[in-house]
Amino acid sequence: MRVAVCLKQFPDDTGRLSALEDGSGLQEADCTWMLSPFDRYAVEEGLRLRAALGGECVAVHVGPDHAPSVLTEALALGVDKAVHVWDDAFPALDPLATARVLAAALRLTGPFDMILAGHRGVGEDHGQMPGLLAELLDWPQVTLAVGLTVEGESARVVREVEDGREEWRVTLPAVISAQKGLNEPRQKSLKGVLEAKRKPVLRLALKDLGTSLEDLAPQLRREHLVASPRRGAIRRIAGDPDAQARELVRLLREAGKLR
Amino acid sequence: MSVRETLETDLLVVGGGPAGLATAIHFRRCLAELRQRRPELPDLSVTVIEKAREFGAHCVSGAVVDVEPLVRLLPGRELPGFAVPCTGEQIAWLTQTRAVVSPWMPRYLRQRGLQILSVNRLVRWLAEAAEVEGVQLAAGFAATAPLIEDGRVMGVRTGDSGLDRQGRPKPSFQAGADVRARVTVVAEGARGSLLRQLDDALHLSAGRPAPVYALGLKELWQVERGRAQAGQVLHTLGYPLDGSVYGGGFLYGHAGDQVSVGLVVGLDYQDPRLDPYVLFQRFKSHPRIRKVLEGGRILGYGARALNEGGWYSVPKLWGNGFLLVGESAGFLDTRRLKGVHLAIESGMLAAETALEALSQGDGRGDERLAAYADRVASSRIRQDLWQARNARQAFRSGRVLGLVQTALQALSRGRGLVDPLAPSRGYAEMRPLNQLEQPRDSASRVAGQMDRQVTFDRATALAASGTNHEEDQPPHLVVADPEVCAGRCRAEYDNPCQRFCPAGVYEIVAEHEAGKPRLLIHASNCLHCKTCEIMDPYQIITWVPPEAGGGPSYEAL
Amino acid sequence: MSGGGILSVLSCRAGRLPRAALEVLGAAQQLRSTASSSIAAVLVGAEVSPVIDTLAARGVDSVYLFEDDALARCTTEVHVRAVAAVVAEIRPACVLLPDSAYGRDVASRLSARLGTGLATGCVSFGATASGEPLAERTVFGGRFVERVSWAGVPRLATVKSGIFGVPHAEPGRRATLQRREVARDARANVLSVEHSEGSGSARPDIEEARVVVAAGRGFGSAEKLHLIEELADALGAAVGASRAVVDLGWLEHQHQVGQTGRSVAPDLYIACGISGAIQHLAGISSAGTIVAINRDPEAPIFGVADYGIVGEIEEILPPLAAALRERPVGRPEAGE
Repeated sequence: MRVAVCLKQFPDDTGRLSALEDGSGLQEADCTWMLSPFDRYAVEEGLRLRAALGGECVAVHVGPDHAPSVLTEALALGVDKAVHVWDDAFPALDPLATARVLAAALRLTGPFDMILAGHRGVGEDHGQMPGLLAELLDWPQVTLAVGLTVEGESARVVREVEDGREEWRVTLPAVISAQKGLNEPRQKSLKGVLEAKRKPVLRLALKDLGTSLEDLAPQLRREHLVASPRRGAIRRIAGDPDAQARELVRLLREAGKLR
Repeated sequence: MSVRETLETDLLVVGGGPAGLATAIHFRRCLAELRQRRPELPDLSVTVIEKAREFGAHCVSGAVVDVEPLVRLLPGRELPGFAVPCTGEQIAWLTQTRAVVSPWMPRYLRQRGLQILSVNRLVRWLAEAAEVEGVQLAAGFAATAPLIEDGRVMGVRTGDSGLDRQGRPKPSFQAGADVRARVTVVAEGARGSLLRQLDDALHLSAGRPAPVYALGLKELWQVERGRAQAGQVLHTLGYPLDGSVYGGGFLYGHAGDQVSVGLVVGLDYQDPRLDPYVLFQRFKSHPRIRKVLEGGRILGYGARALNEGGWYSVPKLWGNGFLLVGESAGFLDTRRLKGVHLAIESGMLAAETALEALSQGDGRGDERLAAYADRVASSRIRQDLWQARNARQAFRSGRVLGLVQTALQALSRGRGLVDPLAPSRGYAEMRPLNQLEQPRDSASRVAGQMDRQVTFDRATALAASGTNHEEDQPPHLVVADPEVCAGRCRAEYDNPCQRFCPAGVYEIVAEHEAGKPRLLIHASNCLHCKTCEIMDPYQIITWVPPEAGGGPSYEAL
Repeated sequence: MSGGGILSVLSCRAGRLPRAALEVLGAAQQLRSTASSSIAAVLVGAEVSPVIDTLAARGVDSVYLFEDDALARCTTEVHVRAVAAVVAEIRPACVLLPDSAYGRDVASRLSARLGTGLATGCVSFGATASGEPLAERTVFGGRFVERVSWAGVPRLATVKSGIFGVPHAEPGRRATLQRREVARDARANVLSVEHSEGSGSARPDIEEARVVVAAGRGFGSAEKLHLIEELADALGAAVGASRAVVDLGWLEHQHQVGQTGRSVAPDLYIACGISGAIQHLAGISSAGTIVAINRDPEAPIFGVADYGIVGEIEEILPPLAAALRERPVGRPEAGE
């Protein structure tokens, strides 16, 4: 079974991120780049499927090269090979353009039986990739998977939605996105880290993809990015405890915070 | 589920700081040259393991660096862009309100022409160079124990991951690996945990006085334009440290309106109520310093212990299968306040020694390691440290006598009045509360409120260190007998761990129900500075590496 | 449909519309360029006709209905084809969906199908000086706000829940009804669906909950924690904890909120007996509304809270839980 895992990297935000003065984005200079936590579940699931069913697990990433690279991390966890897609000629890629690039790369390096990804990328948090990819490849998709079993040519997936759980069955190939609880991701081993350097990394640029720059022109444009406005002044509630409690409930209800 | 794997490498370097990376880089470069002359030589692998998630993340220092060894290590390479040459310097004596600039500076303290840089950035730069040279870098792995067979160091064992608070394996449990190496170079910096175990097993510090340490605290600030100048170096004595406490402050100007500000406090003070973190805040609020920081923004905070033992406390530098470099070897010049150049120099000497041992192939590798001590003895390491051999010890009797002795030593190539001068006893200098005189001003006043402009509480500063640990893991600060904390220590010293830890890891809480105080260890605050292990008056705290990847996340510090 | 029309894609289960769907209608009203732009809604599923009147009352002008029992067992692709057919028919300027699992699934496939941009998790809508629609969404854990615009039409957006108001009801208002059909897809089907109703015995996880109540050292002892549990029950909330509480062993570490614990972004966060050390605050920086209850008026938590009560935990929490219990929370509503 051939599984591809799509990875997203984001700048580690231990509270020290800041926006650029011109509002065009984040200050990314001294950032530490990390693998999106939901992608870890996807990588882990890919590795487990390979262990159970044989085959290959490939990590794919669209994005500029940052050290440490998420692809190196995936290789260190046990992924067989990596595909790195980037071209400095790319315009700022919105989710749809990124999906088009990914889909082209996946078609080039395929065929795959399953594509796994985290259900959202922490950071810009669009959460669109699984659906976009599935539509571009004309495959079924199941998002928010917390349980996955492959049964021959199809997969049975348990997903967690707002008001409960659903069980879906899809024929493979399919796009499946991972939610927390799908599995317990492994830690990388020293052996894995050292072996990662020897595993193949395929680098793809625009000319390899068969896509044109026009196809990648952004449909969603960022007008600006600023720090969230600070909270307003606190509203202190006075009175005896009973009165305070009632007043608080009244205020929260008015603000629509209670259902 | 997880089997302990065994890996092999020819040269293993434990610790990815300047000393470790210099060793690795130099080894590979010398090997390449050697193989050009002798093509029949097999390739030799070098692996550097580092406990931080990324190289550099646990490195913090001033720093004004003598880059001469760096230029020899990587000749032809331009100095990293973040290095700024020192163009102006001052030494100032601080009182609570004033700063008196010294009209004269001894030659060994001159900084002009040296490079002001971030050791954190330097290490990242070195790591990139190491990759180019074919060094195998593995960040996120800590050496938790040496592998010793028949008195010979065979390599190290790395830590397990995926254990819960009670030490039970979680589903993600991964056993650490055994890394077997023909030569192991120990480059952990001051008070390394691997070195402690090697010392216990092989008696490396037998016959030498125990080293004295200091704690360095430092912040990186973005200041308002015009308040600081790149290339300016300020070192201070006096306030907030009174005459009985060794140490001093510093302020260095980087490019881009950034400054490094810090305080070094000797870990042999007598008053257990002293709080180095609070003293650092007081230092920042001195008018001379405050006027630079005001209106600015803190970018990073970090702390680390420094090995100030000097030449006489240098342990045995080599043994069967291993070598010590950098601060693990005690290579810090307390006179010039510098160590990075010695770290790099020692790394290069160790690399040459190891290459000799590994490339001859006649089974006499271990004997050849002895040559390291000779190399060090005929290098500038020995030259510099010999001059400084009594420098720190001079301050055992206070600042005034210390300065007098320093002057005498300068005139007599380090000999001074008495040689060797007995060092202070570090943690053992701490006096119980009932033996203290009335509180002296600077050392023992209770911390006031922080102004949140220039001075901050520990928790706020800690946020700027980026420190993070997996919460659900066995505590990595092992207190042998917590009963001592609640009982004897509370009575005798009022639990000084609450004060000497720059990260607020230790807290004594009075329990409501039992009425008995209890020690809480906020292990995930830990900055890996090692002060607690050094300064604890009962010596019952042992620092072991936490699950790897945890710890501070210093950036540009 | 004239230019500027908005199409809302809604889902309902067993004949009931969740509040999130009504909020989408509220967002539609904020987004439309003029008061006369029409608002259409499309519903795909089984048992959807009961909500038509509600939709009409809340401002929908025309409803496109794909109703079939089999549609309850259909996966996203079928819904997408249905919506795409309506889009081709009425050519709306914008298409809005709830920011739910369903909404994101349908919206993202629709985006790729139509080749137009999708902004997810929108918290407000506006326009440029020249009238081009804009949306705002929060990114990086709520620390930053991003403003986006679309290059083509229809503009796709999912609407974050708990932000937009619900339009007023005008009973008796009518909407035109159009019934349509769509073919199924044999490749995928829904095998089973299980729901959990309201505030049951299992409390939500702190990272997924809409409301989190957190306990700090101010409780004094583990025995007093029943007060926070009663409050959590009254709200259908998750229970969080400051690190001190976890270190003291009063609660397990999965409740820990803070820089080294977990970050949470609930709509409502009630901190009880928590002083507000910066490491805890780092874990709640993206919380919607923060309420602080503490006996110390100088506690740092009051510096970031929206509402503050200075008082004793034992005296405040019981009447608070009682006042909240007066009206049960957590069940989906058919309308108000």
